[in-house]
Amino acid sequence: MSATPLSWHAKYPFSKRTFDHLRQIGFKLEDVASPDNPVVERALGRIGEAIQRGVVGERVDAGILDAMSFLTAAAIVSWTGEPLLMRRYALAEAKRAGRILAVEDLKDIVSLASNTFGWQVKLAEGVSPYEVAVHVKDYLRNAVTLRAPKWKLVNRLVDGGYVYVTRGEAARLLEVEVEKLVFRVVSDFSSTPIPRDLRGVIGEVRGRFSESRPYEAVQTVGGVRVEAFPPCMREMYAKLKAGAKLSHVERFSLTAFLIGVGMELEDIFKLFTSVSDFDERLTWYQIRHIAGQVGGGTRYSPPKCETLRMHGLCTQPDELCGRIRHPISYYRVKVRGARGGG
Amino acid sequence: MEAETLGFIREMFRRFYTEHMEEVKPPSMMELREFGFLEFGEKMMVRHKGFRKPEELRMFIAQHVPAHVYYSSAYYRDPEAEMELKGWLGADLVFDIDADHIPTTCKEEHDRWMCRECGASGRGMAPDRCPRCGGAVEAETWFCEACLEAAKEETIKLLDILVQDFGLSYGELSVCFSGHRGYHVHVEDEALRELGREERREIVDYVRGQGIEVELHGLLERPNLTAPGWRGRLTRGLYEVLSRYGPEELRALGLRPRVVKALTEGRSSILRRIEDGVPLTTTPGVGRTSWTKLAAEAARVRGALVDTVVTADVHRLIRLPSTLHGKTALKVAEVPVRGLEGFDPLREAVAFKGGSVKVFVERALSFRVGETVYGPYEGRVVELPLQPALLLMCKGVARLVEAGEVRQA
Repeated sequence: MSATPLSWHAKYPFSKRTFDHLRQIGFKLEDVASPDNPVVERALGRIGEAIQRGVVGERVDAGILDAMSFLTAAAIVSWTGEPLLMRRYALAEAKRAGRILAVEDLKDIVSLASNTFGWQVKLAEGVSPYEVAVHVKDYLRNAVTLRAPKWKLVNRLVDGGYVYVTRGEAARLLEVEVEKLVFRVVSDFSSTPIPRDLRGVIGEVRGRFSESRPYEAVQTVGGVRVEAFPPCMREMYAKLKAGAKLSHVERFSLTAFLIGVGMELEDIFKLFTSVSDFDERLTWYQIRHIAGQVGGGTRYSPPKCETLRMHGLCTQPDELCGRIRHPISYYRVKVRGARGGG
Repeated sequence: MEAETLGFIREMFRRFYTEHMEEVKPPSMMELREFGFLEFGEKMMVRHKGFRKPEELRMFIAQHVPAHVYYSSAYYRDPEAEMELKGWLGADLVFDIDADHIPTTCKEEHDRWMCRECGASGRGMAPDRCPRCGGAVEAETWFCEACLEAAKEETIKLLDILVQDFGLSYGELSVCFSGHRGYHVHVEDEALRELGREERREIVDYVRGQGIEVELHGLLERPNLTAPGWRGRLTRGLYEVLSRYGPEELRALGLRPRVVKALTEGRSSILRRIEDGVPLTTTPGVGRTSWTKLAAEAARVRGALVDTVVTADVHRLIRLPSTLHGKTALKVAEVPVRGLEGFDPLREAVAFKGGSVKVFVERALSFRVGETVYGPYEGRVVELPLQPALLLMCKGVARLVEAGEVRQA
């Protein structure tokens, strides 16, 4: 293979070519794992930009050092154990890649797409204004997450199994891939032991992150916390887990509650479909409907305490219930209390 | 259903499966598929079955004589495990085209529906919910040639889209007559196997032409009869609509009388302009809004009306080709992909030849099996060959009076 220019590694540190290269030169995280190492410094810069601006800067001046700093940043983010930071970082790296790709050479776009993401992809010639042809499977896998009508398959030129896109659109689709890939890279570090020298740095990152978002920080350590659910939701949740049939109101209330406290839709879906023979399609549709992703676009909140009482769903209210009027407030207070208290 | 009638149907199914055992062709990679069976008179399906060899499956069918046989479009690491533990590996892309979902005018004559809650009823295609009380409705459907023909038309459109737009080869496609009112299309393409439900739903919208925005296809500025994809298809659809539709039908699309007049009087020149790819927006007397309405109709006409649920469901069980449909006793018959046009389901799907059975028919509209048209019958005993007799019994509109020569045979 021809030598990869250093700028490639800086631009696409998540790419297969760069990973191969780092392996080849024997890069090990332990070798750079000290707070004053320039790689760690750059890594912290990446994370800082992700936290503050939601996108990592596009500078590519340090060649392979940039690639190393990407991996190091991914590891640090993973070791903070903050799922929301992991997502934010993945998104910020993806945005960076998207910006770079939007003005990239077509052949490099195609090369990244096929080598790193396994796309079946080719240059589109003579099909102006399109420049890239993406196999329908690769197109769909990424485009389904994009909402604008122009991404709907029925609104595209589809011919011979390929979807025709512009350079900018190809970059946007790749951005989706990059986000998923970076998230995987980050997640993969969770089982690697944390180097002693970096513990302080990780604590600082965690602190900076929670400062940046004083309220949300309570939501998700390992998903939602069932023990912080109000009694009504705990009961419905237990019923569901036990495979009992929930009434329509119960199903709606619990789903809206779980969405409200930040549970992933996929996880809610799994919860419902794993315990019973719910119609999967309908369940998925209903969950997304309540989350406001389909239908009218309204995100529904769970019923307030008063309504739940009216439906006879308010069971064994406790002392905290007396102070709140909405199940979500109960959860927030409870989680914040647990944090603050110890 | 009476025990005697049921017993007779079952006996005939048993005989079919014993005599035609070898014809039951298992799907590809059968060891990774889930199988499901619906027994006669049962409502609950026996699912999560797995078979490693064709003989095992055939033996099972011959022994249990199910009314319906299904297999999963999905591949699983462990098809016999419960749903969450199966280990989904992918699924064929399948399409279901059922006359139930295609509006045909003949439905007024042969289909009825009734609300299970308030008792309201009506003729024609069953609504999703009762128009009076919103309750669940029960449909009573019949099958007729026009419906089957309509389903075939949609299937032909679908195949064209799959081959042209999705680049699939005829070898990757297989088509079956469902044994009742429609067709199934199976796509076994490795690249498409891992698509999730959202992606499949996008494919459904694509083949149906649903959610299409003509502006995004540049249709109004650059109509082109031979363009690939939906731009060409929309242009051809427009051409068809404009050449075929009379003033009545055009008005029904919500076009103003003035526009309808411009379209009908200027028809030949407008058609010529389309052939030449002249921007539609320059047509005298027909504005953008009108063209958009016409284009919506073009999408409807050219889209293939596939079932939206079946394709998106990545755990779907579908009928196994060459088995019997328990509601008709017709065979789920494989259709030569290139010969769909000339395929006659009411001849090719016949599973029982000859025989003579006396049945009491409560009510049956006329229908054809093979070359013969039977019925209509109402409240009387008729002597019929085996296939039409079984068909009426399976549909639940006839009961056995005398098995005749079939029993002794």
